Amino acid sequence: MFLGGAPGDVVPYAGGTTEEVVQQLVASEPFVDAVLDGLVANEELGVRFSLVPVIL
Amino acid sequence: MTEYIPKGKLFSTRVVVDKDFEELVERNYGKQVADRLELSLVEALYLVEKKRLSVSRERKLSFTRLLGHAHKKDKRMHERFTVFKDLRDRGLVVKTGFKFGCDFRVYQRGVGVKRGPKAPSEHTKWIVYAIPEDYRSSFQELSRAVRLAHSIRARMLWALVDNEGDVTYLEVTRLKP
Repeated sequence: MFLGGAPGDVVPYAGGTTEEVVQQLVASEPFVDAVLDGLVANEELGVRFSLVPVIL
Repeated sequence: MTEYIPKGKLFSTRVVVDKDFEELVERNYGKQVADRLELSLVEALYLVEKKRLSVSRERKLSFTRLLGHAHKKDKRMHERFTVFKDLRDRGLVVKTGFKFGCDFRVYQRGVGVKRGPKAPSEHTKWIVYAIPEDYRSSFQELSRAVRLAHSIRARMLWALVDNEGDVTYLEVTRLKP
């Protein structure tokens, strides 16, 4: 469902309802790899979020 | 000689300490109401685990019993307690985020929480949402959380708790074209 995997890649929204986007990304290991230091985007809603791991 | 530790009484979702709580206040635990200190369940759990508080309800409660009670009151207690503990163990000042609709407000190390005018460094630095690995969110929810953080000049963090109880912090920022 989500493409991309390198840090900094934009992870495109590829279908399903908007509510399913982050849940699927967070629930799936490939997403976690892809999204670390990357972006999630929903072009339909016109929003993009960066998710960057931080050390507190 | 046994070290004295403050005693608290359990009332549903909080623990009330009537005396000898000055050190807890100094370390930014709880909320002082009149002449007593009210602790949230996560704070009480943390302090009991560290043997810096004893809690009773009719009789003294072990950490395990208090945890069981907390789970009944809050289904998300596992994530919340895991994150609270991780943040406190890192030396950060952590307060409940109820009034901001998040799990925790977190301050920089060494900052004392105070009311009234504050220096920039004394404001909340992060608002934190404790979430499990299989957390389900929508873009709208994400958007609201980020906007809330920006409105108080804080940064929004997802504290992702995995099955082993490890916590990964992700800072979420909305990017504008």
